[in-house]
Amino acid sequence: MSSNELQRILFIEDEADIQAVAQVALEAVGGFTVKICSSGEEALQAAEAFAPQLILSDVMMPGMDGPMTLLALRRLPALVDIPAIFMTAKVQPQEVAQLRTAGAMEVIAKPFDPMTLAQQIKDIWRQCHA
Amino acid sequence: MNATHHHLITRPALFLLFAPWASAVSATSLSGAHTGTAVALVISALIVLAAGLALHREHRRREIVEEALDASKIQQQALIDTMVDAVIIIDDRGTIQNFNPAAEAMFGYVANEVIGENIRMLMPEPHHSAHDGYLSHHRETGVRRVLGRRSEVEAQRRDGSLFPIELAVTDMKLHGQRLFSGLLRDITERRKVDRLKDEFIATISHELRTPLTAIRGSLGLIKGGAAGELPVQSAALIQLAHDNSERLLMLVDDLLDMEQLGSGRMEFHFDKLTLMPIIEEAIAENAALAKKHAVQCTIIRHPGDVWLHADHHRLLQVLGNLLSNACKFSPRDSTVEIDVRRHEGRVRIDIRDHGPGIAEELRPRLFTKFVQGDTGNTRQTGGTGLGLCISKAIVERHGGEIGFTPAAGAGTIFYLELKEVDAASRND
Repeated sequence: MSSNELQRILFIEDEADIQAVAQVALEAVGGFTVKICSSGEEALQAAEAFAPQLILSDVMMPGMDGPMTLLALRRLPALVDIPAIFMTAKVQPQEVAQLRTAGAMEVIAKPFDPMTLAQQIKDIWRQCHA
Repeated sequence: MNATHHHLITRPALFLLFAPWASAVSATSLSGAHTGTAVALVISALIVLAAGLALHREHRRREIVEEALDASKIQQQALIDTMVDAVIIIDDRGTIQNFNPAAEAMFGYVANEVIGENIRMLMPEPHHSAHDGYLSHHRETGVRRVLGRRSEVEAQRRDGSLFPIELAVTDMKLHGQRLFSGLLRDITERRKVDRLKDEFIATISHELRTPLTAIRGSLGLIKGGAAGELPVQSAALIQLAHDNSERLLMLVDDLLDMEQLGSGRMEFHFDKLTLMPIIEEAIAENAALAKKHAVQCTIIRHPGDVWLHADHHRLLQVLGNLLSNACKFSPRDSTVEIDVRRHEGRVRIDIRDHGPGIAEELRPRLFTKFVQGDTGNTRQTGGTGLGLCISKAIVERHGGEIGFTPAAGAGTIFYLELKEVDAASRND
């Protein structure tokens, strides 16, 4: 399993502008090292080399969606038990339950607050390792 | 037809009635010796004449009535023939009696081809087979399924193609015969427009949401100092832009909700849950807005565990809407009181503000679309005018009630009444 301090996040999001906002929120505000991927396919190629401690992914994406991407990432030996968080505009309990079944340990609602996003992720990380 | 028939019979009969009167007059002038007989003859002739006149008057009256009936029948047929909507009249066995030009255009048959045929020929399965049974069931029991109601069903054209119609059926009795008159409207276009509208709103909402999320996110980062310290004036402007992007996002969400409610596509996930934690969650979510308006939200009565069968997310949305309204319309440094009490299997949540109250003219349409109260400062309220309308629809889906009453003193009480469920009952 990963070390206690969260540093490396693999972030998968198809919208370039949301990527930019999240990058500032995670790197400048949160102090993380972030690898941004624009699609599930790109994430699959970059994942092993980047060796993330956490996967943060959008749900609705063209091509492979969030859950499909996570499923494929989990097949990579190095990423079998890397925790994942989904970000979605649909925060209905049913959908949250489905995303948890798909392997997410938490679901963050979109639109997210960029000033508190990093803290939110740190809190989830702490709970996960408590 | 009937009136002409009547003429043929009655005209000669009248002539025969008048004949004895003519012969009696000629008999009197010819001989004085038969005075007694003559008088008798005259009297009987007068009786016959009076009877004849009465009969003639009756006959004329009938003629007038029948002419009027004829005229009204012609008028009715003309009306049916010129109607934009299709009209089909059938008897109680389903045999088509009348098929107007609009029906001809709609189905692709001419009237002669369908009059005398069964209405089934215009219906696709399963209605096709079921219709006879329905008619005979109605004949025997008087049970109505489509009568007096508007329904949307499928119809079948001559070429076999199907199309949606709106159907209204009324029944009538004519010469002791029971008839059904159906008014049909092709709603293909309406369905298409509805679908386009739904798709349009869903797409627009999604397409608006993504850039708005980026705008709000960027502004949030600048406002929060992630891009460095801002001069005071810039900070105020960024705050303004941020608040308005938030307001736009709210509007998009509300529009999407309205569209889903309108099209019946809003999903509800009902669970058995306790009320008070949801109220506390709603208060927590509303804390930032309450702080902005310097208002305190307080639960003044806590009835313990109250179990509901509800959709957590949607109930939270309703409570959030009522709380944010209460805060927006409250004077600074006042409290919004939340009173929760149980009564005969129901729970009532009162949310009381100390605001100016709701203007008389606004009260009847407070729960309709795009209605906003006036605080004299529209920026202060910052709502979409859809909140209460959405809340009402959500509460109704819960089998509950939402409303308001002016509070004693000043302010308004918005209340929410929901059915309690047994704590031991099953989750579904």
